[in-house]
Amino acid sequence: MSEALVSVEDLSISYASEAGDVQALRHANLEARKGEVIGIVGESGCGKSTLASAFINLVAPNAKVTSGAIRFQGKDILKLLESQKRQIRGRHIAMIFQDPMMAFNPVLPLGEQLIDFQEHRHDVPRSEKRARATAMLERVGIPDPAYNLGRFVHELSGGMRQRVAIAAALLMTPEILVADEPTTALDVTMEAQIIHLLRELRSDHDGAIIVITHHLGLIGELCDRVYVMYAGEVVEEGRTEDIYHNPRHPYTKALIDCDPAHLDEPVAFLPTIPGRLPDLVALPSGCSFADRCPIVQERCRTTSPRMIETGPQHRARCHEALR
Amino acid sequence: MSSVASLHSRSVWRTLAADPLGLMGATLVGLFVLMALFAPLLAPYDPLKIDVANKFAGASLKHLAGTDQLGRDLLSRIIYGARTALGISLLATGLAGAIGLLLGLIAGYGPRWLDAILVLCFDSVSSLPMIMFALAVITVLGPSVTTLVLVIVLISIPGYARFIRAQTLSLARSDFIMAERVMDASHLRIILRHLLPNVIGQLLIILSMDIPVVIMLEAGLSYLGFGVRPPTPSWGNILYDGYVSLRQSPFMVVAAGMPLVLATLGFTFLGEALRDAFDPRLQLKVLK
Amino acid sequence: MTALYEVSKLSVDLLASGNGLCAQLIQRHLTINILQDIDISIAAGEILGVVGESGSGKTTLARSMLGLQPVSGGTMCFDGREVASRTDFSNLRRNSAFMFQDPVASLSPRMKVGALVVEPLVIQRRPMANAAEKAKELLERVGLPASIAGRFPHELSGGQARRVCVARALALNPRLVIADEPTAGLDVSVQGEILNLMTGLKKTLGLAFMIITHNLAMVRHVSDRIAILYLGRLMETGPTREVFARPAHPYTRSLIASEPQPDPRKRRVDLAIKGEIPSVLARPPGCAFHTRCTLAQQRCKEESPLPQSLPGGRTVRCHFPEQQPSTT
Repeated sequence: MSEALVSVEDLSISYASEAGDVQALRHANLEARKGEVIGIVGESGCGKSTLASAFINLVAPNAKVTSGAIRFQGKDILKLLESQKRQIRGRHIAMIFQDPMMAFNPVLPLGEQLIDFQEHRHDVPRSEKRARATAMLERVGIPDPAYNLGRFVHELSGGMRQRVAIAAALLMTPEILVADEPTTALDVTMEAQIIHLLRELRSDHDGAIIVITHHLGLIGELCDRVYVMYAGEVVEEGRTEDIYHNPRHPYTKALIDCDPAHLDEPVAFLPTIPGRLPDLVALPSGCSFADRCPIVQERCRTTSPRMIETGPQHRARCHEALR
Repeated sequence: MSSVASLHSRSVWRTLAADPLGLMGATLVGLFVLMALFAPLLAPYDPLKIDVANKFAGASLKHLAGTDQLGRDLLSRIIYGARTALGISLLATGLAGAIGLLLGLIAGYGPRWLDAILVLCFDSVSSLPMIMFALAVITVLGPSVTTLVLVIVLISIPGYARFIRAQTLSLARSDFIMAERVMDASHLRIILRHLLPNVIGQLLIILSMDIPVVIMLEAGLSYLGFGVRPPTPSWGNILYDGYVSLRQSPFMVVAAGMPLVLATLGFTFLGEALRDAFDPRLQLKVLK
Repeated sequence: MTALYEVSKLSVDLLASGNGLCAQLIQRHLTINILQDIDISIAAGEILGVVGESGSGKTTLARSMLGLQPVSGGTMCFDGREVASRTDFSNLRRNSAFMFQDPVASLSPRMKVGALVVEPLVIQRRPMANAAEKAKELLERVGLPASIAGRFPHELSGGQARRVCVARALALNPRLVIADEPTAGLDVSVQGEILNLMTGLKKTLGLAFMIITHNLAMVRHVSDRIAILYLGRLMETGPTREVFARPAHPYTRSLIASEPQPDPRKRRVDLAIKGEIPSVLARPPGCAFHTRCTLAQQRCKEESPLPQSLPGGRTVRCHFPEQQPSTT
């Protein structure tokens, strides 16, 4: 097993609000290794978007890092100067967004922008950058790439835009590619194609891919390892296979049960998770899932559980993880 | 508007209070409104009373702001001038806003052919050079307060109507209006219960930001002799009198200019603060 | 089983016209065919899932069924009577409700929930002894506390806003509810609650639903029958269970095979479908799907297939439908 390319260590981020500090991310630990695709999965309010913005160092102005670090190449990227942060963002860590429209300037042709994305390669002549852009569009499956270089972002369909966004990210030759809900805005047939493309890319991409999503299908299709998040915490981590077939945290189990794609036979009533997310301003003293947990015990309400090793590379934040 | 107020009022006041310029604007506007309302109580003299013996008197305890070329008390004239300025600007923007609102709603929600005709009218009026148009109307109808208000209303309607039309057009396509149509709500109900409450707030902000413009326009036209007729005190014609007698008493121009500048600034600050307070993006930040 | 709502041979053409005064006066139009030959029927107490990708015309279908979109051909019958005139559609809309994809956007932003849920009754001038009581009753029916009546739409969570829309849909005791992507934007743990609420209402009130969606995994569990729409043509219809077990149309097969699997052991190895749905402005001749179909023959490029019936109440529009039990 190779060593971690990037690691998040004990990271906590909170947002200032009128009601008090919203503890959006609490003591998160995770790492991504070379050549690996990791998934971060959870529902709204679980802290995955906060984590995504921390990776590219673009936390909201009212956010505060209260503990921890993100280590990349021996440095804590959260503590860099603004200019160094920008350099990391442009060259080492790239991001694919849910809405690829956001990644492009609407009034510049795509070709110009794809050339600009290679800004850090000062020694390469412009014509070669253009050739690389064309080759990359071809690589991500854009038909007639030379023609499409001259088009504008609004002229492309959703699926094409996401392909171009992926091409743009790859042109920066990043060590880490963060994909935040890369297929949520797409139809199912386009989604399958983007998944296919990302899967192909991992063979030529020697860095790590971090997929952030609420969609278990995307995790199952794409990821080697998964981190399951709930209410700002990583509640379970492990190989996708182990997480899906042998979930140790009751939330993970409930989440998988809720996904209609998980059920082979049609059912009359779909499973749900009763109750609601705890208030992130005033968190309960024990486990954050206690109120919704089907196997809740007395101690769950008083002491918050630690991560417990339940198998090789498999840990869960639950008192009952080993039952 | 009542539901708008109940929805936003608390945070709107909080945002306003937190903005020093807004607070200053509100104070200035408040002072001018009080001045206009209680002019007869506040003014030490009758603003029309001529006292030629005392012309061009400087500031003294007797005449705090001095007197003009006919010996009339300037402070009293300025206080009554606030009445003229506020009265004309409120009446004109109110009328223009109401008519603009109605036409804008019709153009934005009504049949497309009607919209096309209305837009053509708005464009034609706004393409006329403003001052030329004003002078032409005044020449035909003769200068009077009524003509002045009429001119200002005519000039301002297209702007408001276009704004409301644009808002209405985008709202009319929105899901909630579509939902009302699915429920077979009458057009009148859609316009009054659903479109109006959603456009009126922004219109009021625009109107409040236009009041200083109208105050300036009134002063400008009165200065040129096309607005309020001389004996009636208006900041514009006080300014003109001061300009004519600049040699004898430079003080008059300052005395008439000051309230004009302060009123304009006050309304502008207040309008901007209101806009910021109602801005949905800022609103979101407050709620979070 | 008699149909509550029956649509036959429905076609919709959209007029692409200019917006300016000149264009309005000259009336020069370009017609774009959006839907053609759509046959759909919904029985009382049945949930029909209409599945299609964006651009398939599924929203246009819903809008024309409610009389919000002029149609260029075909007939529609509600409760055995033809719906054609304005009054027919008014009458139809009194007996049906539409739920929008974005629940918050479909609620008037300056009105409170209590007023919003009883609005259909106010519009139809139904007698209501006490509006607040009625609102409370409707909100309770969808599992919401009465206290929510005092909130504005933007103060609701995604799941609550959905429920408010369901409550409003129920106000007139409709017989048919058309729901556009009823679970869009909801977390999976909440999605089930809304769908269970709908299936519960179907059972207790005998309500019929038409669910428009692109989420196959969801309709599979909820709907009794499904209709697959592609580029304005109905590709396949039939009972959900059978269509999923033995999809007859290559498009249905590739849709099912595209659905991402949460189980890493069932990873899709090869791509079931390539390319994108063509634009309605450049509709391919022959079968609409031939440009992406792996089984396309010369005939598919030239001749548009007609719908044909299969046993078990199914129809398929393909020259070479799969009739063997498939293993996928």
